[in-house]
Amino acid sequence: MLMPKRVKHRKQMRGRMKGKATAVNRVDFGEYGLMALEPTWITARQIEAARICLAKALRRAGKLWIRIFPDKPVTKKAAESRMGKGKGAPEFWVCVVKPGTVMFELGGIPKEEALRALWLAGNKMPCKTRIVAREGMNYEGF
Amino acid sequence: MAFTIKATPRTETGKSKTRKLRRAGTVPAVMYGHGDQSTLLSLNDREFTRLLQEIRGSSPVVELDINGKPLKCVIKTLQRNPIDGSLLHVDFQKVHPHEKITMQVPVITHGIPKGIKSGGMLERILRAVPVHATIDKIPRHFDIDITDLNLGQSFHVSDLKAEDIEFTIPTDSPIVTIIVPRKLAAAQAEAEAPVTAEETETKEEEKEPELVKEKKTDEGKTRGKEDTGSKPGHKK
Repeated sequence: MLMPKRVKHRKQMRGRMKGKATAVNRVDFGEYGLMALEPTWITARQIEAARICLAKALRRAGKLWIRIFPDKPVTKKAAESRMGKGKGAPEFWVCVVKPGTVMFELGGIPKEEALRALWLAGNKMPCKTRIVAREGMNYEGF
Repeated sequence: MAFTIKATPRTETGKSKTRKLRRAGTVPAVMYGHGDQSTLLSLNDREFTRLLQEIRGSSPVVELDINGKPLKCVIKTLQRNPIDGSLLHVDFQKVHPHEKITMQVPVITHGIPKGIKSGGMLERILRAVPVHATIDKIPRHFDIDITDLNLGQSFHVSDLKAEDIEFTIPTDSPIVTIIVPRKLAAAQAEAEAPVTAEETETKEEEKEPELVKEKKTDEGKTRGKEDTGSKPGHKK
């Protein structure tokens, strides 16, 4: 599963997920992408599940781009422990996703296969998603 | 064929005014170029969306009709809402007939390469090529035939047929290439990927990322509470 190699701080505050995605909101590498329509935390497990799903559908053809990375640690207190005594231990890693974020991209495979694969991957996501295609080039490409 | 769109000058600026314009079915736009003062414009949203459909896959040269005066322009930037894709703002750049400009010209591929049939993968490296020329010399798009490409072969910028235009990128840059998949021979292990992923999963979970340590102030002493070296499962 994806996780950072080095971090500055082991634990983080939860933060807020306001607004829309201002970056990573276009299909930049492949031809089709999977866009999040809701703000959410995507865990490393969910990214891995979607990756496996897409890799299986690609059947060694085409190319896959994962455009999100779980760089936020989430802590959890041990079961049946009393409140207090400090913050819990890091449990898993998440990526903060805002509406409009293109999470996965596919390229080099026929349209039907790409749409089917992205639909399957979308089912692994904890939020509403939409399959998006690359915009008409040139006037938006730079 | 020139694509024409009607535009009307506007005086309203600012967030609330432009939002009103968008609600009324128009798109705020601006036109600039040649060192002239920029002109604020508004376009009909429907008409402009239709125009974008028409010029899809070709260079964005359009004729702006401002109060009956036609002006040759290039669509420089489009701003869209990232979620619903609705248009927010358009930038036009005035183009002089004798002035050289740099523009991205789309590349359209034709045919299925031979390398694909023998198991290769088509990788599109450049979808548009930046060219520097006068507006009448710039083609709407480049058509390339890639049927003869074999495994490992590429179509380069230098292979494009173009006259009186110069490319602003090195001519040995590949546009498309047929890459040879690493495991072309071992194509059967399709279902193995999930298993291996699960196996590595348990190992990786035990790992804890390394902390970025702060600089030592004195010998043997470190600053910061985070660098205590405590384990992730450690309960306080």
